[in-house]
Amino acid sequence: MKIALLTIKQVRQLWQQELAPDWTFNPIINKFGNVFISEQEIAAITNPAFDWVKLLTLVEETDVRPPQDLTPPASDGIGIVITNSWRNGLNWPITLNGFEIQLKFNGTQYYIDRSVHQWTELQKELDKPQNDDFKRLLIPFYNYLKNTATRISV
Amino acid sequence: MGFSNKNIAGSQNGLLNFTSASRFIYEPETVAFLQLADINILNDSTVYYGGTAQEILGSAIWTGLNDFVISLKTAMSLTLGVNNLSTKFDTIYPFIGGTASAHKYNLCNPLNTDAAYRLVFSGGWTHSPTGVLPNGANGYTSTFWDSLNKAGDTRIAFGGYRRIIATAGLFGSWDLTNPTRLYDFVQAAAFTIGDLGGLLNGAPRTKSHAVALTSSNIKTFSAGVVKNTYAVPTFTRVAIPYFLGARNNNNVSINQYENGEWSMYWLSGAVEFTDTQIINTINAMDNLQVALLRNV
Repeated sequence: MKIALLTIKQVRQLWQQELAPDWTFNPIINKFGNVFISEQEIAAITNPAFDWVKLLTLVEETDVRPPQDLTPPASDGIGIVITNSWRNGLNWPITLNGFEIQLKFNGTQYYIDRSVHQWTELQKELDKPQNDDFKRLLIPFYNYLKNTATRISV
Repeated sequence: MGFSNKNIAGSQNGLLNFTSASRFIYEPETVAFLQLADINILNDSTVYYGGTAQEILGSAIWTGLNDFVISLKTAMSLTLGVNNLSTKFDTIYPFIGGTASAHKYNLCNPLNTDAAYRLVFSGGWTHSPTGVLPNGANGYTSTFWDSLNKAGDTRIAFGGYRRIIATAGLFGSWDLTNPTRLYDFVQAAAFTIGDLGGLLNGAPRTKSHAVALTSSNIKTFSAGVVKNTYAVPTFTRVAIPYFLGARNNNNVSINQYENGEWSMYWLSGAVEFTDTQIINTINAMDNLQVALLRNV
């Protein structure tokens, strides 16, 4: 069976809404935590308010994998100082497909948690071929974090 | 486009139920249901041997369903030509018409209200001239019927025509993945209609099946006979709307989605049926599916 994965925003738009007369959507969570609707629901849509749903990508239910954990690792008490040049030269927070690196401020200095720099899930995402361009842009910044930046207690 | 009695040649004042000789032609339930289901009697169909349910059109559907209604009323000793099927059955879903809008109606009370137990489908279903098929992942429908208000302490019967067996859903409306499930509930004295209501009678697992609880026992029926008889279990009536296609888990969640096709489903309410009445009911259901060329 094919399904269409939904974002939380999409779930809110579809929840208990009528896709056709006498027929409502039933977004449901699978064992991996993905929320989806079925191909049968999409095929039956006659309500023009939900024409956009027909454009969602269908995937085989069996191909759906566990969702990525987008929760940043807890701070280990060490921050990496972000200088003004990096603070002004990058768009903060740095985001990639749901991952987010937050810029923090301790009253005197801007920093990011060291634990975020060592974020394994984010590293895996960066290593995906489709993220090559983004990764190339970040290499100088990562080199700065690794080799030059000052560590502070936070 | 809706059907109108005025379209019938020779029909005066919409008196579709009677000929000039006052012979019953169509039962009132048949007329009300098929008009709402938008089945136009003037769409004549020619049925060939080996035909399909898709080829069955208006007049053949009217005849088939009406014969079914007459059979039920005869089995229940009800007067023909009178709207009285609801005195014996709370719901009968014939699943005729091929669309959700047609399949939702309760033959006994074809109104578009919760109180009339019309269905509202949710999630993944396939509607076709052969019936309704939940997808086993997120398709279910509420009957809005619950045993607390509608079943008797020791009286309930329910059944259906299963066209395709389910391979998922242990506690769905029909359990076919675990051949002892219903029996376990019965023997464990914990058969709760509306929550764990299930149907299983062993082979044949398709076609018409029924379960009847009376003050003296509980019996399962299929293939025109009583299949098994058990002692009366503890029967807990609950305010949990009965679902088809999945289990209504105490109104908290929905689970046990099933994936078998229904061509009919019914619930008796608080009426005690005799064995013969049940057998005649499931035989009538089987005959209707034959008439609609969707029997298995």
